[in-house]
Amino acid sequence: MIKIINVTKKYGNFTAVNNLNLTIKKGEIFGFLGPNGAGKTTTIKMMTGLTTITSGDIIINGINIKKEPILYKKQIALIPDKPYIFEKLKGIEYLKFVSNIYNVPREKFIQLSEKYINLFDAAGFVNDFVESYSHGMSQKLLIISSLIHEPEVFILDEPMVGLDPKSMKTLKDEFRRLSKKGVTIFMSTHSLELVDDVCTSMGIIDKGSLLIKGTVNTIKKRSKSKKIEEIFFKLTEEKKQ
Amino acid sequence: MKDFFDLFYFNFLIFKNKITSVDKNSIIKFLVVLLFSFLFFPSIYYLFYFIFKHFYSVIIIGPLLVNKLLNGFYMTFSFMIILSSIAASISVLYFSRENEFLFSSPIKLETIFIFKIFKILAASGWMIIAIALPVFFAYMRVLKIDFLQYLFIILTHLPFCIINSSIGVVITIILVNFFPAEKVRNFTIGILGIFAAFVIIYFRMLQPEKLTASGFDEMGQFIKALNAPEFILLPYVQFVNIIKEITTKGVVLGSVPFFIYFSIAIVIFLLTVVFLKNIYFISYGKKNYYKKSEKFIIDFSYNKQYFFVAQLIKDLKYSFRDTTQWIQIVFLLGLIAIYLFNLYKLPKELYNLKQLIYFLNIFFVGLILSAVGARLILPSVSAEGRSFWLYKSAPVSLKKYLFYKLIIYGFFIFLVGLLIAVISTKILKPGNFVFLLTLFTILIITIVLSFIGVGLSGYFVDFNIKNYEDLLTGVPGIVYMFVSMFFILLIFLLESDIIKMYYISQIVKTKVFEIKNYVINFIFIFLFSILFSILPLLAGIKRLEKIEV
Repeated sequence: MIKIINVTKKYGNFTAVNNLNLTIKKGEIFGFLGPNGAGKTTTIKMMTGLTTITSGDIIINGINIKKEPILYKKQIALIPDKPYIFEKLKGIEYLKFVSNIYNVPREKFIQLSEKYINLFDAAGFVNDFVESYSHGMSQKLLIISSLIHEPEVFILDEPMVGLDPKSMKTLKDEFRRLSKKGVTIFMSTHSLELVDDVCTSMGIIDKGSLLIKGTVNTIKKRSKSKKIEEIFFKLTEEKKQ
Repeated sequence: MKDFFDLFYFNFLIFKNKITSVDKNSIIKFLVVLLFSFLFFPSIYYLFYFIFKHFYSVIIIGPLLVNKLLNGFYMTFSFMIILSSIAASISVLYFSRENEFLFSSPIKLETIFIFKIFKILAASGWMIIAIALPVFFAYMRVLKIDFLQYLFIILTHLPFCIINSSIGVVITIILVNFFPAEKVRNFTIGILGIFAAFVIIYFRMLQPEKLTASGFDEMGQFIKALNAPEFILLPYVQFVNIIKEITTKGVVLGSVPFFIYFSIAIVIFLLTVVFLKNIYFISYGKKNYYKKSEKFIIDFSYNKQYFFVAQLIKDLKYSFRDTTQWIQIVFLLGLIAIYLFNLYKLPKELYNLKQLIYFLNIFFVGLILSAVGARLILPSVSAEGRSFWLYKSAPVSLKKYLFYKLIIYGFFIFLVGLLIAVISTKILKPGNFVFLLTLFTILIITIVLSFIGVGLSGYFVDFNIKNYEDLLTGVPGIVYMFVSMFFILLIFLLESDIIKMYYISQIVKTKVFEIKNYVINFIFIFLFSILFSILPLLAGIKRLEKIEV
């Protein structure tokens, strides 16, 4: 379970995230929507330790990132919006390096790396240097590296960018499978279709403040709309006015 | 033509914006470069004035020696311009963000290529010309030539640069047809660095201090060692011939080969434009082509390793694969070689003072180690680049991460210090006590310098940096050098008291030297060491914890 309690992030006088409160239950696939500059990536950065929290708390499965950061980070996997990877390593070397950092046992590495390399059609490039990869290849490598250490919570920032249609489908299926196993997925995206397709709950953020949150079906019912697109534009336009 | 000037104006605007929006760091960097220039250019000028003056005092063969010397120099410059223009061509022709815009615009390809070659020429030629000019000022002062000759000689540098830069551009286009552009650039920068280090070491080994008026034999040996190929079609041979013609026959007669040389340069320039027009786009399509691995079997062998081991394996692979890091090692080896050579060639009259010199040696070893630290440790955290997000989001504490850096780099610079200490002991043969004190000091200095380096590496971290030299010549480098030198000076002062009493006891036998009398000195050494280690490290950890990736 993810709990974001009264979280605020300030850069000088500018408030990027303002008193954010969210609770995402175990096994949920949460879609985090918002226009550019709304505070989505900043929230993800705070959730994964990439930036400090000005005030408030983020707790995953009862562990507070501020109090026990190492224990907290053992449970999560991040897939950032820009896939920066050590480019002088080969794909397979990167997978081994990440697995070592996350203490993945030998048998599990062999079993899962082979499984996910095949699932995401990465066998053709994992022997090559990362510097030769396209955006999509790097994204696939990051996804594989995060799946190998079997986190309890996935935090993803625009995970579908650069992926080919087949890999997108594979990833969506994997999300659904993991969700059934109790893995929580927190995903920031601009793709309203993706939220409609895989997410069980969602939230819309704009100018640092959360506009709406709830399960996808509840929000649709409450807004009397079948399309997330309509809800998104209605709320963000209202905020502008 | 209008397009051509528009392109220049567009670049002028970029340049102007860069200058008008400088930050504090850039100003400090500029001042450091300026300070070095004030030291460097007069030194080059006087060194060559001295050499040329002595050469010309040798009857008959003097001018021949000068000719040989200039051939050697301009061969070096020629090679360096070609290498730097390869590095510049990769940036300008393949990675410049303006490429998509320029090549999709209705500007003639010829105009774009001429403009780009000018950019490459400026990027690759300016530094070499800056080094060459003080040499020529010295040469002209010795020859006492008139203003017009002076002007012609300076102008001759332009076709020289055009020819060499054009050669560099053509080589680049050919290479990118076979290798990824990024690799070509890194490899060229590596070769350039190694070449520069080699030139510096080579000149030092020639022992220019022996070039006195009375030492004609050594002078002859010196010139003999400067042999360069003198095939007439080589650009530097023609260049030196023109200089000779202008200085001996005057501007009127000397201008004929000058204009021929200039015309050749223009023809080569235009041929390069034609070459670019025909071949460039083939290579542009291959700029990111990396040879696919022929290994189809994936190596799944995996043994769970501690963070320390996994990180070490990663760093070793990186160092081996990143040619730009090789330069650091070559420069360091060069620095150490020159230092030890200087020690080896110590004038005999100073041998009576060898114990004292050995002690002074500690101070210089400290300076070398701080230079090693600046080059290797200071950029170590920034070198992770934007991939640092992995460490921040993974279950790895930043303290553990910095501790790893501390152990690895500390061990490496201790080895360097130990090597220098052992070799300088072999050369100077001091007593056991001084040797042991040196070992102790080197151990302390390496530990503390590693702490300072790792701490400041975290404190001044910059994940966007592409050229590590920017860190060394900017505020981080200055702070590191200042802090480490201050520490070395403190240790040196605290130990000088011990050494002084030790030597007195060796000379005046009634004085008994007992190390226990200096416990207070050692306590201060330990206190300062702890202080200089902990403060930068804490600052580094704090900054890394706060920094947003």
